Amino acid sequence: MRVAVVQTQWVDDPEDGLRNAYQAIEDVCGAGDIDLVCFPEFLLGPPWYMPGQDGLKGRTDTPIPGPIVDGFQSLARKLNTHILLGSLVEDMQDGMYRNTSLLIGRQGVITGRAVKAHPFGNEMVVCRQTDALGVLSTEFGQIGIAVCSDFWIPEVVRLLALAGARTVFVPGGTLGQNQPLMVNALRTAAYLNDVNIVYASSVGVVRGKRGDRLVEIHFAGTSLVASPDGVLAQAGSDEPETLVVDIDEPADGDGRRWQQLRRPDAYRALLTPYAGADRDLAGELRASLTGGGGPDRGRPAAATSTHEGTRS
Amino acid sequence: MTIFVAQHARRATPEATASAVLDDLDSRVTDEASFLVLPENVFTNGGDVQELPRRLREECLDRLTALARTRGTYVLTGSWTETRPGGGLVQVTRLLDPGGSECARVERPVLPDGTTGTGDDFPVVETPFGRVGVLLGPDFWLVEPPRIECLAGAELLLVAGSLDGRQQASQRAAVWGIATLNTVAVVFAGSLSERCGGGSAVAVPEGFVAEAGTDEGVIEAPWDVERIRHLREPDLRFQQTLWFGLWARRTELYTDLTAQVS
Repeated sequence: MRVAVVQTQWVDDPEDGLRNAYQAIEDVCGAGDIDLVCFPEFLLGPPWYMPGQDGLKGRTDTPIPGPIVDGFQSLARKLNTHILLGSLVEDMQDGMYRNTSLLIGRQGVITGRAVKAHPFGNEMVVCRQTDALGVLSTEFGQIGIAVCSDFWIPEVVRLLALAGARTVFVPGGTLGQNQPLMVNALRTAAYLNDVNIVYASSVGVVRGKRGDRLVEIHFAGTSLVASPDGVLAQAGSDEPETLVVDIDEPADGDGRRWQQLRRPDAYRALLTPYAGADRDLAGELRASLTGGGGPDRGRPAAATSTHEGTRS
Repeated sequence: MTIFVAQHARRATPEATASAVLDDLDSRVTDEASFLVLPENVFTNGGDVQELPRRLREECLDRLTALARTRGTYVLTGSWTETRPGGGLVQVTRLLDPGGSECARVERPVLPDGTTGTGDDFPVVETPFGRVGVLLGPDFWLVEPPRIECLAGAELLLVAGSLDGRQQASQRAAVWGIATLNTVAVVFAGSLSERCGGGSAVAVPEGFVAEAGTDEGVIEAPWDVERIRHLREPDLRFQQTLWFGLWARRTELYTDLTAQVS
């Protein structure tokens, strides 16, 4: 499978972001046969529910199907390639949203979909989550999709691998302070589960106000493709770019051996919550969205009263 | 507070290996030690896995118990092979408290190919230095056992381990990766032999604190449980995000992990 991983840049105008995405597909597929083009989470730009992004409501979210998806379907058909729309903020038309990844086949038909299961931040309040995690059947065999922060729950990649996925796509976004550990964690997930990991990320900074604070969230790219043996290709952290990588199903390695030693009857404790979880985070976020204070608790001492966000 | 990790090459006989390891520990482990961790199959000669002679087992345990008492440290004894009624061979590791008493024990079967099997008990022990999980052999690489201990509150994983896979570079990297994915500190002890590639290390979610590589000796690293507790505290402002992996779980989605999969 020849995969193109498109590392996007978040721009101020979502129309520009959309045009850039179309152009990236045209460019990479024009240069050679590509089986699948993979985009990051929020390929059109920040969702309106990120701090200070209210003005994007109705611009980076979209109904599915809808005109934005139609455009990608036409491109898939024209270029005879699969397109994994890393994620779109799906407008459910009832006041709620979903963080949805779509797989479009060579004929331009939506052949698969994965909805984020583990909401991050305000997604806990404004998004619906999936009720099931599963693999998708493709001409490349079974694949899995872990939408962004779903990757941070090790159970997700494990479930997808046990269900038969040999390649797991992770449309995500690397926060600045997480860059080196993110790379190693992706590599580790590939090794332990004996799968390839295809990770697409974006670059850029999201700036906005939340209350009296300036919020800056830095995204550090670092899109990559990893096999159980290590990282095969990795993008930089500052610019949009596209990786083109040929990947094969992994030969059975240590990860397969570990899986054969599993004792699932002994793992009931995985079905219980973390023993230290003692806060209603969704409640705190709900309060912050309605101006009732909220996420001050847990703020590191180094944060000032006027500035919050990631480290670049 | 300091963590010590032993990594030694195997000698021609179990007695020689034991002498080399224990003498080195006596000279290197200081009163600063809060934990000392030894590897899987620690006192062998590198050949076939065989029961460690009773007299040698008792001598090793006595010396490790004395070390725990004199240094005031928790000691994960590494593992050695014992025979159970019926003739089955098991690898056994013990966690000794600073009084020299056994506060946790993990036993795993020795498989027909001589490697260590996996099990169904995953102990977590409360200590003055934080909550520690004890892991032996391949359980560490299985995703689920380290995860279960961290979900139960373990802040530090003590691993009597071995770097004996075919993909040792990936294994070495995964010591850190497992720390990241579970927001935990990992103390991994491994031996040196033809099959075992060292790789002893202390890792925290952000990276390695100490690594032995393939050098023989005893490495040490500082230990600060408050750092792990800080990283596990939710921060909803994006400044730190590793807490997410423990807090944001949706347990109803994971039932297939407890089912037999062909």
